[in-house]
Amino acid sequence: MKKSKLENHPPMILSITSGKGGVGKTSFAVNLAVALSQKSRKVLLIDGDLGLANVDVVLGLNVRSTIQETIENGADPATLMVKVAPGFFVLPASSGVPEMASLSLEEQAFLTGTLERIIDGFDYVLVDTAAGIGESVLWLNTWAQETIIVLSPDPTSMTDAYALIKVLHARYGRDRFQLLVNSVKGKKEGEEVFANMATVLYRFLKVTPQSLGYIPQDSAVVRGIRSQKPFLEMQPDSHASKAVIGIAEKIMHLPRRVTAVLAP
Amino acid sequence: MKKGQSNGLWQTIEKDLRSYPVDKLWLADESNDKLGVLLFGEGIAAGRLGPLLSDLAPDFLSSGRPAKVICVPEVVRRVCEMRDELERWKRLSSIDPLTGLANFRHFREMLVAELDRVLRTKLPCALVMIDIDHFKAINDTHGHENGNQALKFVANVIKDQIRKIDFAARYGGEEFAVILPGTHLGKAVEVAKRLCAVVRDSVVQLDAVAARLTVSAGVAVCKADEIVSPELLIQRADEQLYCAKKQGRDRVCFRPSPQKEELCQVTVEERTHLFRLRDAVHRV
Repeated sequence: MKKSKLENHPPMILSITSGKGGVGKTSFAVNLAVALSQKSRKVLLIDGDLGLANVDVVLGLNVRSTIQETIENGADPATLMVKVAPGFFVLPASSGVPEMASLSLEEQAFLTGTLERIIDGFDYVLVDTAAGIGESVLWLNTWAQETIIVLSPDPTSMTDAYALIKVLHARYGRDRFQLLVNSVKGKKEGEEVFANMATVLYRFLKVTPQSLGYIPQDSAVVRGIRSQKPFLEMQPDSHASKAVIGIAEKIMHLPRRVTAVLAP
Repeated sequence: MKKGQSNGLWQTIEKDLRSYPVDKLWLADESNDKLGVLLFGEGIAAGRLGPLLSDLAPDFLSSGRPAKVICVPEVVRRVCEMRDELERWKRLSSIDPLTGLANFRHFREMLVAELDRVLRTKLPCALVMIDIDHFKAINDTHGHENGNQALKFVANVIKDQIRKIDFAARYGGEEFAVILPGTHLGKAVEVAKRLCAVVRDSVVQLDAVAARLTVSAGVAVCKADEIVSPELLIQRADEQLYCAKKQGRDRVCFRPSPQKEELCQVTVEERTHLFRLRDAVHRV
């Protein structure tokens, strides 16, 4: 049987976004990357907060060159990638560079074109977007194949998440969203928040979100952030860690959207 | 009157001439030093016989008096050849030979004309940019010949689905552009979605392989109250095509009109429902 060249899957690109800041997007993105790499997947985490880098902070990385080099000097992003652990690479953003947060259309196209060339060989590409619904958040979300919306049980987070979904849906026609509820008191709160969001999303937008799960409040998370180490590495048996591992498994089962030409 | 045998060269001219009200028509074959003589009656002005005759016989009487036209074989032959040549070049320079659709240059001209028409008629004009998904993979896996078959297939689907007044072109390697005059965004998106569906649901024969193709499409509209340049319209449609690719391919993307942008705002009703969640959640 003829082996189709398309059996080598292109990477699945997932954006991790929230609307509201401070709900735990970056911490989740980092630990998700760790979980996937621990399952022998090759992961690239792109810090999509292009002007106010966070990924490197969460990981305690000493970064010298960032995506800014690519935009301004045409540096090959492949050389900017930092290996954090086996199978876990990071493409860092710049810190304190407002221009990076408002790239022009040409720069956006240039960046995504460049990125597409270097993501070959990875199984998963995670994009940790900035907070808010600014231009960079929106275009990075449209670049991704799957959108993970991180929210916490508080009403401002839910409202902002809803607003973000509404814009992505109305303006870009996106209709698939993975909802992740962070910092929940327990299973019941996690399920209720999802159910309530799903109700309102369906009622007003006819959007049916998927549930990626929930992550409980856990001192391990706080400890990880303070020590600038992924909590999955520090305390792999914590509730939060187990939740993230479960989420990683769910992601690994997401269908890949590749339309292949059938071989006989 | 002697009527000679018309050879192939003359058939073209003869057909033209017979449609004119000539009294007498005299054709001779090439063995004569005169190829043909025309006699026509009173009241027929020379100008009505059009540029063909003025090419053939410069010395010509313009009143309705009977006149003779004497044609020189070389001139006739050359005029016919030039006319054929001109037709062929016109076609070459505006048609893409593989798909039979207009080529990029011709498309550009048409788009300029259509946007002018928007100004005149006040009707919007839609542009759909269509791209075959994974085309590079098709070429790599099945070879360039099959890649061409895929292109022809999609081109034919497009030709079938559009109206007579619509205009389809091969815009690039695997990209097509369709101009839909007098069409609003909603209708244009419908057309694009239908195109995607037809391609998606068909099975294409590439060599011995039964294959399935998909396309992605981006739609943009130029409205009378917001005239855009051809470049900008193409850029907008291309952006939407780009989004369609990013969102997983095999789909249509479009940017809702500015009025619809207000629809992005969260309404009071939505907020009320979301805040009811707070009470629901805090009951936990």
